[in-house]
Amino acid sequence: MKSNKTARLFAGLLALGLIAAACGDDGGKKAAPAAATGTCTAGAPTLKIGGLAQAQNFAGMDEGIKAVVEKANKTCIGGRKLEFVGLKDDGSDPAKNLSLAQSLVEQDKVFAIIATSAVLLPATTDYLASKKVPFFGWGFMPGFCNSKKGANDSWGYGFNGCLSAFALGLSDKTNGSLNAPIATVVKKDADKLTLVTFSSDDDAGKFGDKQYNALFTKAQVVGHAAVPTQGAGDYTQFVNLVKEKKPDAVMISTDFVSGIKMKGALKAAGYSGVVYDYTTYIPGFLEAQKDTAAALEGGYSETQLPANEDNTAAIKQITADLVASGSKLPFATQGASIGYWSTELLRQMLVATAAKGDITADAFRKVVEGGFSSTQVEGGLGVVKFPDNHEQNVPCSGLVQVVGGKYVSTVPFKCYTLLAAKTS
Amino acid sequence: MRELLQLAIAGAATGAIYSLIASGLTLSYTATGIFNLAYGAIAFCSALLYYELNNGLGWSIVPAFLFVVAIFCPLLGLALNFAVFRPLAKSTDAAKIMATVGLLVALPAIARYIVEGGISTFGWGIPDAKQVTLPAGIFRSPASNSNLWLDVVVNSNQVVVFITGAAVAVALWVLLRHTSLGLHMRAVVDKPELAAMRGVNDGNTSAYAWVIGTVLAGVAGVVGAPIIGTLQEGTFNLVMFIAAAAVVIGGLRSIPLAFVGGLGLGIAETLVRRYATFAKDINGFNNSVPFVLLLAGLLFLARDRGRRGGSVSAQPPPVEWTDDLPTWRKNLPWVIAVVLFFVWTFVFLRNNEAWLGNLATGLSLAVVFLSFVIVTGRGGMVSLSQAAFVMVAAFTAGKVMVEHGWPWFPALILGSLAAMALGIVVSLPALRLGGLPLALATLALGFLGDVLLFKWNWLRQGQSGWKIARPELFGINLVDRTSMIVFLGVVIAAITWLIHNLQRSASGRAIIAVRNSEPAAATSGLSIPQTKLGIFALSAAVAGFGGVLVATNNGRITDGTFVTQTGLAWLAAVVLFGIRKPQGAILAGLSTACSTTIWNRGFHFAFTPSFLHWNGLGSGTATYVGNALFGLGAVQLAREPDGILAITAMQNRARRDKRRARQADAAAPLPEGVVASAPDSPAVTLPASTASTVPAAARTDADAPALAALQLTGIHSGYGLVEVLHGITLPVVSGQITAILGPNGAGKSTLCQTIAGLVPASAGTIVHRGVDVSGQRAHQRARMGIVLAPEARGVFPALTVRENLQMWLPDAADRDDAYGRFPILGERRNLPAGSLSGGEQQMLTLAPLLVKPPDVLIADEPSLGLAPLIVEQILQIFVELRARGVALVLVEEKAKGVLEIADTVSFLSLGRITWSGPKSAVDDGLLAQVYLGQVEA
Repeated sequence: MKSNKTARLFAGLLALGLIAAACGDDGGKKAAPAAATGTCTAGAPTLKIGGLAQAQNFAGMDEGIKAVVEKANKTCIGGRKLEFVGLKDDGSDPAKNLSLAQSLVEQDKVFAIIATSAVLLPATTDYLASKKVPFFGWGFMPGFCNSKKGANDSWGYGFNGCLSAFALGLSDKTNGSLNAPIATVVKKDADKLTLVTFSSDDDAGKFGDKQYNALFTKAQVVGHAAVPTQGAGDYTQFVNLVKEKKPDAVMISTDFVSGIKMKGALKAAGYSGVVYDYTTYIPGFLEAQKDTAAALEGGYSETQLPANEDNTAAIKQITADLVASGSKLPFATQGASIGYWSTELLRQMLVATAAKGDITADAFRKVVEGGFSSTQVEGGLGVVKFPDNHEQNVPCSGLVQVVGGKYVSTVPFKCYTLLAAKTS
Repeated sequence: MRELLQLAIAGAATGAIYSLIASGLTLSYTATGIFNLAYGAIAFCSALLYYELNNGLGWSIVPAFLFVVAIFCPLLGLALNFAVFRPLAKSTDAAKIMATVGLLVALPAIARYIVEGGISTFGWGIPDAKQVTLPAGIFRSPASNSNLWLDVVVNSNQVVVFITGAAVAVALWVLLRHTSLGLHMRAVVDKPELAAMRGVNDGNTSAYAWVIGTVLAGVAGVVGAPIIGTLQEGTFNLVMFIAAAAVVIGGLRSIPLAFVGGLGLGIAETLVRRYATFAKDINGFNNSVPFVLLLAGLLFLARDRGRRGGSVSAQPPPVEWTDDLPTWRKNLPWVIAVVLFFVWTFVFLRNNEAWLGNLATGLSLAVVFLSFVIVTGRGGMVSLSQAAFVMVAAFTAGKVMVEHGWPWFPALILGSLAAMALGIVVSLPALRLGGLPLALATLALGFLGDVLLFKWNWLRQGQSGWKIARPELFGINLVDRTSMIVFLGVVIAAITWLIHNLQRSASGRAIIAVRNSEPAAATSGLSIPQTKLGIFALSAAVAGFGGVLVATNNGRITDGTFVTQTGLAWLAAVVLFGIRKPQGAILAGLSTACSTTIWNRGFHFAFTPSFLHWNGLGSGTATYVGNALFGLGAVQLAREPDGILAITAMQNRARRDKRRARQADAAAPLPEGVVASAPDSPAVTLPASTASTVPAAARTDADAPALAALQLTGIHSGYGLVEVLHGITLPVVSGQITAILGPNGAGKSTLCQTIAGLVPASAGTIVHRGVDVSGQRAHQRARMGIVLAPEARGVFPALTVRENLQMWLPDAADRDDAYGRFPILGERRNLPAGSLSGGEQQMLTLAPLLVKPPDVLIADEPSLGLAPLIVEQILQIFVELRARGVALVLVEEKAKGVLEIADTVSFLSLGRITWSGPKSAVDDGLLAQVYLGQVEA
């Protein structure tokens, strides 16, 4: 009887799980003597790395992580190999995110986690901090930042630092890379160009507003509106606003889908001015979807990761490493890039720790928080320093444009400066 | 002004998607009686399939569209009808809602599992559809834009949606109001048994209804996907919930109104967003518009629908399968389970932090789930806003602990009280609603909580929320997970005891009374609003209490942790295990907490070979499998609305009964032909030839079987464990009135329903003019001419008088005959039958039968509740029918009227015919003996 099967299935699984938990392996950690970097010590315990993400949004992240892990294992770190225990999908559910983090720490006994998720909420990041498990990823969630200035309680290491530093009040400087590239396109000073800005009508939007408002004086922002994120929203009123104010550029800092719809609406209404956003550069995206490509045609997108189209040393490196690790990805997807660069940062920190002795959580923290600086590849991410970047972002970005249904690199990825916030 | 007009037009264009969904959803509801909360999920699956065919496999638009809409959707509809909804047809509103919630969770998961499994396991070359924006519709891609009017730009997809929506609305309106299929579907929804008795094969109409409903959902999904803008199941569901407001504006009945309502919804959203600048700083104000409209529509809907003549059918109580066991034996398995659980936790799991954590989470969730047992399991009301109670309590507790330094326990109490207050607020508007409108109201309020209340920074502390530190209670530090588990165990025990005692108390009886029959409860002096309010308040308090415990276990509460859709998944989990008992809630909690881990990681045993290890399902698939299993839950729900625990209990009971029957037979073999009559033994199947109980002397020539229009022989039937008829043999002759008299409890209604085919006979035969019809279902017997005029009138209260006549008289000429004979019906022909008086309803029942007389007519208490003058008229109708050769069976408790016109009389008492004879043999003395129970076979 089907029903009984369901009953037995659930009950059986529960029971098996409990039994296994009781009788299962413990897998303790043993400290190994430090060996020179470059040789792998036989029998040395591996350094386990876990992945935790909204797998749907960041496809390919596991391949990026694997690419770095395989490369590192050719020479080992402190004689030890890295072991990637797999990417866990939280399905955009905060409870699952916490539960998976707990299982990674307590059952897999990971040393570090590569984590990028919009539901990587304080519950999870607090937990990881309490267990001294560092996590790496795209630092747009508060867990990558200290809870207050000087607290030094964040165990999150964003590949471009703590992105919401200004909005959280941890820094009085803003991310100069957010407006410099577009100023190049518009051919005006960043202080002089006029904008109409759109943000999401939700928390993330209001939070982001703080950041963006600090980049421009009030006089520069000639119009602003909050764009709906739910339902089948209509964009006519926003198009009207743009047509009325005639800005130098339209800035869209909404969620992904609304951003595309907004650009599409402007295009449909025949608007031909400069429109840019921060989310729509996604390699491989345009080829698959004609309506999206049409909506984005002519628009610009800022990117916080080096664009594949830049074709710099950094892009060559990630492409080569992905191929070498056996990845079947045709190009570095956004997820793969996030995974790759985050793990690369971890790798550099592990190397730095190994140079000073055994790799343990405490040693790691001491070395990294004692003034660690990452090494930059040409055309790649900016230098990340800790503990500074728990309270600051790294102001680097690139700008691409969609031309003829393809992304074209307009301003190659490079680093700018932190700016004093505009208060009026 | 120009801008106002422009935005109104733009809003209407956007609102077309809501209209399209609302029309289909209204049809689905009116044709099946089930509000399909999984409509958005079906739309999503269709859109996904279309995307894979069109974009992935390169099929062109027409074949891809036809495949989805003409092959996939009908098959899915048939499957859902067969596996889930047909079996649920007679179930409560709550069970139906819970089944659709299960499907809402399961269907997208299954679809994604197939797509991604196919790609990874079989190497299918199709896109994985994880990040699709602006998917192509059924017209041009990329869409073309044009200037409609006043600079309103519409794209071709919007035009397609609008045209499709309008066409669908018109087609459905015609279907529902002007075709016989539509009439039959509405009749089945109104009163399924009566529809069967009028010849409607409710299995077929149900299938049609689900096929049409699913096809419409598929059309909405494929055509609407480019407007919705993304292939995400969450987004599709949300658009559907918003469109529900339009359905409610249409009164849950009117498709044209729902269509207009959808456009209005789009306009309202657009205009509020543009002009309500006063609300700029209220987080989420704009997003709340559709849910405010949904709620307002529901409150308006709570108008009185007119009087219902006759009795109101009550829900039968659930069967208690463990009734036959002594109390200690009933509880033994659970006691053992609890002991085992704690032994396991303390002895074997003490060092396994991860699993202890899972168990602690599971138990804290169990506390929340116990609130479902209270409001839905015991109270019979579906509440879809439990997640909101959890959040408000956790936020309140967090706020007072962090900002005001309160200690943990008082914060816990305050949080529970805050949840209780919210529960009262939630239930107040809904007190006069029942069933579906109440569930929808809780859904609306849940969403309002998500988008509005929990965005209020004062309460939620921005995006970082409140930290909740684990306390030390009575010297025990709850940071230690084992202590936490013990503490939670104590809490669960306490609440279980509370629920148990509640059932036994006066309040508990009040709850059951209100649930079973509101009019009866009201006339017994119970205040319905107060009782309902009490249940909601208690349930909310328990949910809040659990919420603080969950947050304490997690260490923090942040906005977005538990949203309404989470609450739906919770409900599905509890229903799966059994929502009426606390044990169901506990198992559901543990399952929910542990399933993520089990699916993701599998399990490994030490000291075993590696092939016994299971590494789980890997990241993406793990999510899907967990959710897909809820689909199985929904299917299982169809078999036993009370969950896995009830099915297990039922099977155990059947085993015990079999064992007892074997023992009884072995102990004392019975003489042949005598029924074993242990009071609590179930119906035992007897050989078909049980001795007839009609005394030989009473038979007349007219009873010779060859002339009988209908012959019952040795009929046994009953309900569940109780046999009501113990061997009825009765001939029914054309052109004669057979009166069957008997006191209450004799089995009169059971006899009527058995003849009509609504209750299957467990033994014996029914032969209609030489043809054995015992195996025929009600609608088949009706078509063969065996018609029942049931107790409490055979009318469809929601259909008009004309539509009621149409059920038996499809020809307008016949209906005119009926109006001619009964002018009062002609006067009231467009009124709903439910608003007629009792006498008028009985006339409406019998009028069509006069125009097209059946072969055999059975009338169950036709004079019940009617004035003497009306009764006279009714009896004259029977006389007229007799003259036209109909074989009539009149079953009555009141002897006086029917005795005057009867030809043969039988007395029915305690399930047996105790006397039978011609009317002339009946005198007052005999009557007295029968009614006082002194006549013997």
